[in-house]
Amino acid sequence: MPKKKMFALVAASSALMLMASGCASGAGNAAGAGEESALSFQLSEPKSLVPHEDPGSQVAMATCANLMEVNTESQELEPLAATSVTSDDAQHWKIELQDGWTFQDGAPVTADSFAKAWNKTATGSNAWQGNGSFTAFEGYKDLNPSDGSKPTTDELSGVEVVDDQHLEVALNAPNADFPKLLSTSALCPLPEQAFSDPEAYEENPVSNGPYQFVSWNHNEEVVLEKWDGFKGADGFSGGADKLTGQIYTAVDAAYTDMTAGNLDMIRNVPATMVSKAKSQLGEDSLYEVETGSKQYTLQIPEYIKDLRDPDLRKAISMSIDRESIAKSLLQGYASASDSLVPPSLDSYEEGACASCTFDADEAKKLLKKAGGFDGTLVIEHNSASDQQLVQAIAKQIKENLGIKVQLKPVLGTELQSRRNNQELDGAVFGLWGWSYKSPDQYLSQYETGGDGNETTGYSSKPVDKLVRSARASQDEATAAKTYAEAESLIVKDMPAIPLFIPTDFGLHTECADMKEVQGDLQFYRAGYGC
Amino acid sequence: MLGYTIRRIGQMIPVVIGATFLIYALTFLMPGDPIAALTGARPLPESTVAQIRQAYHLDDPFLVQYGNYMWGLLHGNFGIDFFGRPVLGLILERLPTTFALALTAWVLKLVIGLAIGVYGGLRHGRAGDHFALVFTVVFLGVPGFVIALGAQTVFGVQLGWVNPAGISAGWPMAFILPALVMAFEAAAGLARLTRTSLVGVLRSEYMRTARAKGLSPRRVIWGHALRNAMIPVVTYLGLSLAGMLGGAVIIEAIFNIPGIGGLMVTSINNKEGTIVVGIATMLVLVYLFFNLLVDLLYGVIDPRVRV
Repeated sequence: MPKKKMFALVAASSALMLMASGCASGAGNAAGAGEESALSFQLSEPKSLVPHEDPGSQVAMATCANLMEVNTESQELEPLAATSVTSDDAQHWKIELQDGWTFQDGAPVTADSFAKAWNKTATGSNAWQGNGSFTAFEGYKDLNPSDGSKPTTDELSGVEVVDDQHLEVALNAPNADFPKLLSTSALCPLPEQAFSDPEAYEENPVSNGPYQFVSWNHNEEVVLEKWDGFKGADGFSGGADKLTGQIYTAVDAAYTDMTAGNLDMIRNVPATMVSKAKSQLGEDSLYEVETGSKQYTLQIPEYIKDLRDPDLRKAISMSIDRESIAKSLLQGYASASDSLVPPSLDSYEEGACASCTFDADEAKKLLKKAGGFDGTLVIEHNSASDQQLVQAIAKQIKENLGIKVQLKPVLGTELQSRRNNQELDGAVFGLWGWSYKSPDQYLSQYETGGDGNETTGYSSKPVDKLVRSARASQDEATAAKTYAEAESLIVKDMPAIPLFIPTDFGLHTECADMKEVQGDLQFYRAGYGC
Repeated sequence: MLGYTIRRIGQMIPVVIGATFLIYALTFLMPGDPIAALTGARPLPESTVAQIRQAYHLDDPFLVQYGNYMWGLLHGNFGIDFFGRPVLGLILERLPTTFALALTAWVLKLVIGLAIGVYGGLRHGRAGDHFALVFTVVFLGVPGFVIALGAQTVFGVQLGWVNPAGISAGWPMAFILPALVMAFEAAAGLARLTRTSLVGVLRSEYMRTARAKGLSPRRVIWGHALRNAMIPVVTYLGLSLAGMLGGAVIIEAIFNIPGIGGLMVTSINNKEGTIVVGIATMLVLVYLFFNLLVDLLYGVIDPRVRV
């Protein structure tokens, strides 16, 4: 699952272009007859191999099997380590675990393995990245007291271990997405030694997934091998006996290594590299992710008084020719967005945002209706990654509306703290993505106090009500309809201007069959084709 | 000689304090919030942030933070990063790689640079000298990353003699190409310095005297000319080794070598102050050590500086 990240791939200096064109490589790490099959994938030095500390990591996805998973063929959510996850009211959940599952060292996976892992992750002072996944759990606030005092407990009051095979979870409010949450790495189980000797566990993690950890040569590689004892093999079709995460600091170096035949899989390929790869490695080397999970937007904080008028916001939106930017600057590797959610989500309705089509005349009319704009439109953005794209957008707003636009490039960490602390000077350009496939992952940004709501601070009672009711609905069709209804209210106020849905690409050699890797390119699911 | 050595070491103390203070202050002033970098777009709860800030003394005034840091440093404690890993461990993990690269590059540079420089100096004004000049101008003129990417494509990808990225092949195969690129770049400067210095010495009065006394040409050149010509060269060599240890950021990125430079850049981006200051302090110490070595060598080559 990609962790939410606002800032896309930090394009390593695009100035570093290859001078000569390399010839396409032969088979990567091809294994001869009788040898074990091996695939390698691009990785950056992990901060930790424990899934809860670095939930977006490829190693975490390969080593841990969660309670639920998305079936590669049907794309449906299915139980994996659980036999069932049920609830009558979407707030109180009953989880039954599969019988006989063990960790890779033979220790049984019990309800306790989950409960203890969840408690530790939800404890704020541990500062584990997975912490945010537990906000919906009852008792989260007690582990993270808002006044900064030391928590009086170290357990989530909403998690109850009934017996070795049964768990009960109470949430703060009904949330039908709970089973989806159970498919993310932050909710993996942990074996006993993760608590008794955490330091040793960090260097030598044991989990319950299809691959087991072999070695971590810091800054060079992480080696995994297929685990025979994996019980969820029915829905798993991963191919290679051995998986090596080769560690690169820059995607350019990984690319060069692939052209030399030393690497099988790369993900998050920058658009500039896609065209180069087409000519050097051939069309077949490109894997296009069909499910667009990310979206570029221009968000407008409510606390910027100048930009409050919805007509002004719509004028800005209509002055941007998304199609032409997508075609020229983004080389066709993105599509124009006309909704606050990407088309892959159930609640998506074509043209939900009527003011998201380019119409310079209408934009000018709206600007007039809003009483003009004398100030300067400030657009903050990540100085490292989005420079050209934001410049193109600013140029169109300037030319088509005749207003002053000023760009403010900010360092990534600085921009994040400015968003979180509501210190922005104007609109902010950013990228959003889901952790699991649900409209909630996008629309909660516009719910008072919702996930990601800090940036705009947008708040509307009817919207809150609709989003919460959609979230509580266990019927997917009803939920989608209610989410769509909420969106139709939000776009009237335009707290965010939808811009583009980027197309994600991966690169692979002949040996790596990418059919099963899903939207977020889970390398461990790749088939072995040599 | 002993007194001279002690004096030089004594002078290092204020330099260490001054340099770490400056680095610490600059890191402190960098924009951005380290806690924000820690968790990505989903902010940690207020309480957690407060606890982390407290644990890492982030809310203390600058001088207190610096005092804490120096106190730890005196006890050999470089602190821990925000993921709880000891900074010293992170640095030591990468230091051998950086040393291997820098030393290999430095030795290659020494051989190449001195050879070209001495050759040019002895035959100055003749065809060989001009050829050497053109050679150095090319390497000084073309940006380093162009040479690096070109070499990577030709020798790593097309010819396949070495791996184009990573150090899994170990020393020397994994280091030879990046080291050669670094060596050729740096050798150009060394060659020109050596040549100029040698030409200057060869023209001096005492060289004429030496020759007039009837010394063999070999003794004149090796015993007198080169020894004197080497004084500026030794300084340059010593400091450039220290420079190579910290300055290979671009080469490290292109050839995917997990060295100190790359760690420094990532840490600056994430505003991980303890790592930035740790590396910088380490580099200051290394730099001072080589500076000391140069000064001592100086004393050996030229007894006048010992006074």
